[in-house]
Amino acid sequence: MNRIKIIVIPSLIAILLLISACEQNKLRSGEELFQRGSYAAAIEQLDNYIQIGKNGAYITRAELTRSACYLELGLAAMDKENWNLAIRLLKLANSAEADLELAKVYNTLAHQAIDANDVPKAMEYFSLIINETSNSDLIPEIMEMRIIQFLNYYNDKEAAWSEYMQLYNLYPENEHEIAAREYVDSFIPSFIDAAVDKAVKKEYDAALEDLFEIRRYPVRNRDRIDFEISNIYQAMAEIEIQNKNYSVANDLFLKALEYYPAKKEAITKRLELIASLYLEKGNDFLKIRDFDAAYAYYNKAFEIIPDFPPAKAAINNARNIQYNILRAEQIFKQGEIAEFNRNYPEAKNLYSQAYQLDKQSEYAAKIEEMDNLIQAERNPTGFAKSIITQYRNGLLTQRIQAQKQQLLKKYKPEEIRDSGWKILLSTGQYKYEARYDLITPDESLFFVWQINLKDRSVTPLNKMSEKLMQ
Amino acid sequence: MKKWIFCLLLIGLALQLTAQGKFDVDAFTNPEKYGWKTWEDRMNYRYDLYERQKLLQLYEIDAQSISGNLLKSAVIPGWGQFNAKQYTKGEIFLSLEIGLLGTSYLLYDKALTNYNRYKEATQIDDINRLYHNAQEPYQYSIVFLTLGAIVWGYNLIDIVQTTEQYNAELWEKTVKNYYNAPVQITPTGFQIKF
Repeated sequence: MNRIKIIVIPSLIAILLLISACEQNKLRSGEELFQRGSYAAAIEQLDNYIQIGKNGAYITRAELTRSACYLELGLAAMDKENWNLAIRLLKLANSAEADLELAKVYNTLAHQAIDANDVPKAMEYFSLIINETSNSDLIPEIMEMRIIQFLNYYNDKEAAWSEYMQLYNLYPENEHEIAAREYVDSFIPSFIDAAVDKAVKKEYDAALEDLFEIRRYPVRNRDRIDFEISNIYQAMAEIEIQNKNYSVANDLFLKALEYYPAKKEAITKRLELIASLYLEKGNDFLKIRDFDAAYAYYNKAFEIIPDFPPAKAAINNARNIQYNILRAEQIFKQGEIAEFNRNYPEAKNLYSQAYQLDKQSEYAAKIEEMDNLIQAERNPTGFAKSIITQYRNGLLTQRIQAQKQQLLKKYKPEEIRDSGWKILLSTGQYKYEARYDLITPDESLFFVWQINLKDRSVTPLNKMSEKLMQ
Repeated sequence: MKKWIFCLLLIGLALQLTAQGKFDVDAFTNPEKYGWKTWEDRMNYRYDLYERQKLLQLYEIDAQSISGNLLKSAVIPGWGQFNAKQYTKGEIFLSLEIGLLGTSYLLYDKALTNYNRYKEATQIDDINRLYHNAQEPYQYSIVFLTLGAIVWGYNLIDIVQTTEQYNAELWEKTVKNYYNAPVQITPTGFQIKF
């Protein structure tokens, strides 16, 4: 029995020692120290365990307990108003709860700095609260304080505005945000003025960006902002009209109206102008007979002003023109058939009807041609003679007579033989030759032209005749 | 013996006092002592710690108690190892224990039989022979019993380490599953990663 005791008892002691050396117990001893309020000792114990521990869960628990220890030490330092020590310990606690306390410490120090007129130092502490303790309830108050200091101490409106925007974005309708509006409203008019100055310099995008940024926040000068935005859109629309970008201009006018409905009358007039400009553009396309494009522009006018009467009239007009063109083409074809059948009076009549519906030069030429053919059929030589004698208001006859006068200076009248106009049939249908001879004993002038009765064209057939026509 | 213990206590106390005398507040409260040089470092650490804290609840569901496994292995050697999913170890401990204690019991039984015969014997030769025959198995029985006790003791030591190892691996597995799984079960509900 004694031998058994000798073996078993040391074994049990060894087992108990081993169990006591296990990880869980090391953690527990640290936690017990924490519960007993021996925070520094607990931290030492837990630090040692964290370095050698193998179980991540126990290490995590150890780290959490260690954080709680630092927090307790930090709170103790705060009680003793040892702020620097408190800051160091709370930073080591590194938890959301510690951050709240850290913010309180910074806030206390900031107010001490303000009391000592050391605003830059106070601003440093405020920055620390905002940057390092983002979960603190003090932040709205701190941001309001910063806005006040930016305005009163630094006279930096931009910084104050930037701070206010952050305050509103993070804590809308918070009591400190509402209180900060009073300070912000004091400089917003100058911001609006600056934006208007940009607009005057035609920096419209920058001006709008500024105004829209201000507009996002609950500032007092809302009406004026909307008015200025409307003005800028209007100015941009006018430029687009000058550049003939009517669609863009229309959109801009509508935006201007959206932001300032009181401008309705003035803007409606401008919109009517744009609609009219669309009609003009449609008319341009109508002139070149691009009906699809013309209708598209007329319809765009309706997008601007629904049931715009001038647009309706323009569309009706375009439809009539389109109908007349089609009708003229049909009549013209009938005229061509009549012409083919040599019924020139009927053809002329039909071509004239087509021309009445659609003033095409082609139709006019055909009418003239039919007129010529009618005369050519009736008295070809007489018609040929009338063409040559009336050519350019009798130019040829006048020049021939001038030539004759020159000859009369050299010859007696009886020595000159004047043939007068002689009309002869030429080769080709409706073609005749017109001759005029001046013969003297020494020299002879023979003028000859070919006349096309169909189109009244006159073609010189020798050099002399050609020269005479020039 | 008592003097030695007293001396050891004195030395320990002196070391403690020396250590306390060297306590450096600046070093103890140095905000960078854990390697957090910037605010971002502190936030990164905090985020990591919060993430791990969320996993603690999941870990606790499957974590095994050392005392529970110790009790099991104390009652039936190898049971705790089985529980900690160390089946081979469990089988070895159980079979060793059965073998050693069984052998011890058989030898003891044999020794007891011979001993009873020895008590009933009347001849001096029989008395000597039976006594010798009772003594030898008894001694072997004690040896096997001792070995059984050693194995039992080692089984208890082992179960502590095995359970700690199991828990450590469980944590690693929990962390790994949490960060890799597209759908995560968290203490506050489900989280789906896309």
